[in-house]
Amino acid sequence: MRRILEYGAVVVIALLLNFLLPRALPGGPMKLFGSPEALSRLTEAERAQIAQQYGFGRPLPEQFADYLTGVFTLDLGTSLSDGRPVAEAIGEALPWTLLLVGTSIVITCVLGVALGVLGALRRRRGGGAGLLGTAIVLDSLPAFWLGMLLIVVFGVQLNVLPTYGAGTLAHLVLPVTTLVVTGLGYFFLYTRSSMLTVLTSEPVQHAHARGVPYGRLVRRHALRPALLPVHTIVLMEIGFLAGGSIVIETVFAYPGLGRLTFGAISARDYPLMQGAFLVLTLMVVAMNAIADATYPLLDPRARQ
Amino acid sequence: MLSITGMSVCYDGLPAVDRVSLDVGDGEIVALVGESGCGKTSLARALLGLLPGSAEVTGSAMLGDDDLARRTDWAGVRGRKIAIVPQGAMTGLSPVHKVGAQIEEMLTLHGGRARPGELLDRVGLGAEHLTCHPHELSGGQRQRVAIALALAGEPSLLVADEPTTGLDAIVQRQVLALLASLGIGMLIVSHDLAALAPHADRVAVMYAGRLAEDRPKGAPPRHPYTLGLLTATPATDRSIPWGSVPGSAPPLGQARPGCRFAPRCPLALDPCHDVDPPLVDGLACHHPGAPVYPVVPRSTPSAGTAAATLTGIRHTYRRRGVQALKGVDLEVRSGEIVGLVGESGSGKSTLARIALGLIKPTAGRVVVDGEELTGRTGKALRLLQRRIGFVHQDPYDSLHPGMRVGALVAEPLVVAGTPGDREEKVLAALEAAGLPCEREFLRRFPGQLSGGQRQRVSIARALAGEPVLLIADEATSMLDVSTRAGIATTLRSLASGRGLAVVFVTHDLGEAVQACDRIVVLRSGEIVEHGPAADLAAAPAHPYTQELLK
Amino acid sequence: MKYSAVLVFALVATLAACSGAPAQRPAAQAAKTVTIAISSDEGTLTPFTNESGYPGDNLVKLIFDTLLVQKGESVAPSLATAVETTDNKVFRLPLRTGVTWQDGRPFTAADVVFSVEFYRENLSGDSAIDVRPIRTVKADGDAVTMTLAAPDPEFPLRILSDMAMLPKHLWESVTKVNEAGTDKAIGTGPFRLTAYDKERGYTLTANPGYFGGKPKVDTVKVNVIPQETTQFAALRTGEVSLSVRNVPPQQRASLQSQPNIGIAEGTEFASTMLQFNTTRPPFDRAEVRRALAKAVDVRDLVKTALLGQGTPGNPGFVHPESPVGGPALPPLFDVEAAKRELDALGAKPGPGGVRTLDGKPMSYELLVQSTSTDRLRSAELIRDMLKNVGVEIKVTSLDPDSLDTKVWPDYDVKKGRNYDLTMWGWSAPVMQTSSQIVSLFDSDPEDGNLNIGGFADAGVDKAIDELKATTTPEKRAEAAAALQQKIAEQLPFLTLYYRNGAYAYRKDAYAGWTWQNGLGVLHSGSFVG
Ligand code: SF4
Repeated sequence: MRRILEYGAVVVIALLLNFLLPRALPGGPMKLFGSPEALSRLTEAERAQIAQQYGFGRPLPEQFADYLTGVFTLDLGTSLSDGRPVAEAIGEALPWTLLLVGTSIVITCVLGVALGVLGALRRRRGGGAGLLGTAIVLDSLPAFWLGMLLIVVFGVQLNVLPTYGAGTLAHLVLPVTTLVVTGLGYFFLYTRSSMLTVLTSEPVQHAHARGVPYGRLVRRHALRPALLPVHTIVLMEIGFLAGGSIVIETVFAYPGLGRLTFGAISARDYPLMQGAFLVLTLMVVAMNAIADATYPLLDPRARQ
Repeated sequence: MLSITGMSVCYDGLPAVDRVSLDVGDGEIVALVGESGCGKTSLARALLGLLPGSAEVTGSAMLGDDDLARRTDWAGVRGRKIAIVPQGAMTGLSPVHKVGAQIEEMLTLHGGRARPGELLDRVGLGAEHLTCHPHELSGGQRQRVAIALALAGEPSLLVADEPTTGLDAIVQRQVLALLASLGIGMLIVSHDLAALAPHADRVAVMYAGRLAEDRPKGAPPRHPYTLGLLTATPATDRSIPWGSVPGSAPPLGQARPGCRFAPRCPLALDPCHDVDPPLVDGLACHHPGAPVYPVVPRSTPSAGTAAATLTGIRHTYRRRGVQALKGVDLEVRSGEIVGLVGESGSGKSTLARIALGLIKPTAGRVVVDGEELTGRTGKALRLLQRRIGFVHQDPYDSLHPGMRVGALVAEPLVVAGTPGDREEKVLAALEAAGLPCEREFLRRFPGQLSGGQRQRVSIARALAGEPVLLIADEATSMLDVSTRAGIATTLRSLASGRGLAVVFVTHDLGEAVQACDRIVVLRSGEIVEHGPAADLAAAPAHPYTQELLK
Repeated sequence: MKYSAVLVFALVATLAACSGAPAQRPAAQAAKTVTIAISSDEGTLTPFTNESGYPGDNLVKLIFDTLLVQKGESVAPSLATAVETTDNKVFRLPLRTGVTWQDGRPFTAADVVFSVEFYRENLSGDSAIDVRPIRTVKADGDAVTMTLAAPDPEFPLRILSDMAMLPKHLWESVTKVNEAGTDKAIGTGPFRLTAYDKERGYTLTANPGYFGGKPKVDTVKVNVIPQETTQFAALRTGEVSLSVRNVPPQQRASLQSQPNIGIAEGTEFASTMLQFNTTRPPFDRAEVRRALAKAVDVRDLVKTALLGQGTPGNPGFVHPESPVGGPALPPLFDVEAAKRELDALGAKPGPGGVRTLDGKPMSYELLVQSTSTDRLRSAELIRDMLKNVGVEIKVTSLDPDSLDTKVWPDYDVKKGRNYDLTMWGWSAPVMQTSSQIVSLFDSDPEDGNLNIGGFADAGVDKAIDELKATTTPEKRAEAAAALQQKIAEQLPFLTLYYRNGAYAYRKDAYAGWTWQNGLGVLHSGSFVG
């Protein structure tokens, strides 16, 4: 019950922010209705009429009430830039983003966790140090830079993969690779440090003292406790990335939510921004809720 | 069965265990006793090959035909021939597996023939606990599970490393009784000489890496250090004085030639400083005798004015829904030491925090120095809080490691903006807390001090604010046994010398009996008994108090 | 991000140098499919729903025709076959017959009348036309007659060649123009919009019955690629046949060295200027503006910031090749004169070499758009040039929206302004006709709707009135030249340069791009005729 109230409070605050943030940006959606040169010819009354007609000129409380009604009746309004229903625009972009993000998260997570465990077990050997160094480098690679590099190497030079767009499996390779490579370091470092903590924890040390052989120690005693925090960050990551990676989607001209959001922000398309932020909010809250709900399944201590 | 001969353990060349020889016979229970850093744990872990890579073991430890000191492959030995109940076993069980599964694992690994239920039965637990996760068990129950795990492989020798640490007094006795009843050869490592002595067939005492004494059950202790340890263990009988051994044990690698104990030994003569006494007839001492150690002075009851009055204190932790205090009254007068005794969960720490104004009680009033504390907030609260000193349980945590002693003690003065010569006041506070009153000492960092010295710095810091009330929350519990009475002595001199009112919070009724004028026994948030220390110790009225006093 | 882009670019260049050059293929004069990369979505490609002037309007005009088209510096027939006028006030336009809308319905004079009235009602949209100068429009048979409120010799170029004709039968039901869908993107033009989705972009298919002839390209695909670097990478691989991005001077050589990549280049009329806030002292004094302008070497800006890929600004604002024309005025740059004039104003050098004018140090803030490389560089150069004459400039770079909010709040000059100096730019259409140009200088905010510096000068206002009163092209050109002369004296802003247009395309995909001043290469002339 308490949890539900907390989530409710988070959603309410998020809704308020989603509404206020777009309107706090400098400029406004007026520029969607013509070039500055054309707009400058409009009289005050003509501007007011447009603003009134498309909603963004009405008093803020009225707009907010409208927005709230929209959220609860699942009517997110109409995009100011092209008149499409916001729900439709998001509905088209979201599957693309989920495809991109889902694929990358799965690969990143599996690879990152596997390498993280390996890195923790081999920490004193050359291979482990190499892994650690590589992970730190990867973690700090800018996604933009890496994306461009991949485009140049695999698109332009080798000419084996498309440089932009979406639609086929081949189109997915470069953006997914970029996301995986840039995201891998985080998972690796996180898993590694979690594993190292668990390996030196009392339960594992004690199991060692009781004569549990090394392999079994790692598999049975260390792995599960070490992956408990990783489970939470995986879900959080999905929540955040579901908003789309603005950088990746821009670099690869990928038609996902990130690019949609970016477009909406630069155009000050209030309804579209609100809709995109709402999806992001809900994703994060939902993943949080899932993490909270599934954690006790993995950790008996968290069960009531 | 186990025969240790001339065993040394060195870390980076510095000896933690120095040429120790010790035997454990078949079915014999040997207690290896000493204070922290004496080398007892290193010795025990060396027997199972559990020392870190930086440790080097020499000498031999024969278990049957097997030299454990030379072994590198422990498969089939660890858990099967020799098993351990590791230190802190309560927190050492796998949190994600059920008790039954953990026992099964041991049985499979070490080829044990018993059934899990039988093992639990042997350690005094019911089979219903097989389906529990460790977090669902009490500390004592978890310790029993850890013992069952060690027994699964049917070892011929069991090493129990501090098996009672962290448990409440009553549970401690139960666990030791259980170990004693198992009937297998056992090496129990502990700091608690008094508690182990009745259960052990033989007691070996270690000091600074050397074996000081090795005597069979019943033989009177003769080594000055052993005698010191005994007098430092507070008895619940007011007629037995509580003493302390001044000074502290040398850090690793800084032991001087001659008898290791010489710098602290009241009987030390010249040869003691030069010649290392060999272990002869179970004793390593040139001239044993009856050493005299300083003891905590007895109080003469003095009726001061009320420094703090707590009335009708109730407190519920709303988050957890736990009723920590169910209506407690407490009065502390100036010049007296009141012992607040209880086991974990009794509410004694909550009460201390309420008296400090750190927690707002759900109901009740706190009056300090004639002014009401409850209901105050912000600046008014902080002003009144300055009249209360506090000494924290953990001397290693409570002092900022980057500040010098002088700055640490002066801090309350700086915060309060007290004018005048601060150094003068700081030195006075140090002296009152029993620390060297030297300027050089002011420039030291906490890392350069022993545990007892740190706790005294905490006291000095509390004194600098010139409080009317001092609350010492388990102030001795993390110190070595031999130095605890020294802190109590200091508190006593503050009470009688300055008229300070002291609340002495402890889980050890013996300490309270020895150090306090009055005792309040708390259990589950209620006062079960209170009265003058002498009366309470001589004739406890409540069965719970009687149980604690056993 | 910028820095990374440079690194990637360097890498491309290196790798390109290492690999064997691919064989040069013949230039294609016709093509089945041409793929154009644009930088952002352009809505449903109707005159009211495109998002940008360039390239949005250019794409709209591939679907929709205008009555006339711009050709060279003049106009040529399109849906109208001729312009008949005696007084430049009443225009009779005979319409081409036999033209059909892309849905098969015939194009008639009623559509023209409807279009004018529709634009009058609906003022918003990037390709919407301000038709208020047209007082009446009447259909008579296969011709329409438009009567203006006042004579305007530039009317054919300014409005008739820019106003896309709308099919009445589809648009009369439209009430919210910005929600017009692709079903409304039906024109008479050489291409029709056959597919649009946000993922794959636009597909334009040749209109075989186009009155100007069958287009040389069957299908034009338009894809959105936000990143410039990605656009050029896709051009190298051949995934894209034309990038609408103006090639940055630094990347030109590398792109051009590719065997199959060509660069179409020409003059553009987009201008870049140093704008003074003439309502804020000391920029309210023409002498001060003049003195500062003389310290700025616009040739050096072109050489350094544009690597020579541009034309130095004319002090009278107008590009010498623009249809407005007029004599090129002599450059102002003269450091010694600038110093002398500042001395004469009583601005003596103070501490640190900074002059003091009217008791205040000559230290000002120059705003610049953080997104524009050449303007950032120019702003720094200007700072150094003004330092030479004892004027201190602090360059502040802002995102475009924040800068607009300071300089031109709500795009309404009546709302005031808050800056000292700013880098600014006007798009090409502003320089198209002299009646457009006057809106930069007119002190009346209704007519001077682009007068973002709040400039007011009686002499200039008088020159504007005289220009507006002219009724013949010759007289108007004369009046425009006089106005330019005045502007070069008054300097409400200093025109710095006009960037050249340079657009990279795949020669092997399609090489029929033709340059039209004011439009670039993306116009129907590149596909037809
Ligand atoms: S040898 Fe000397 S110093 Fe050591 S314990 Fe015996 S008497 Fe004390």
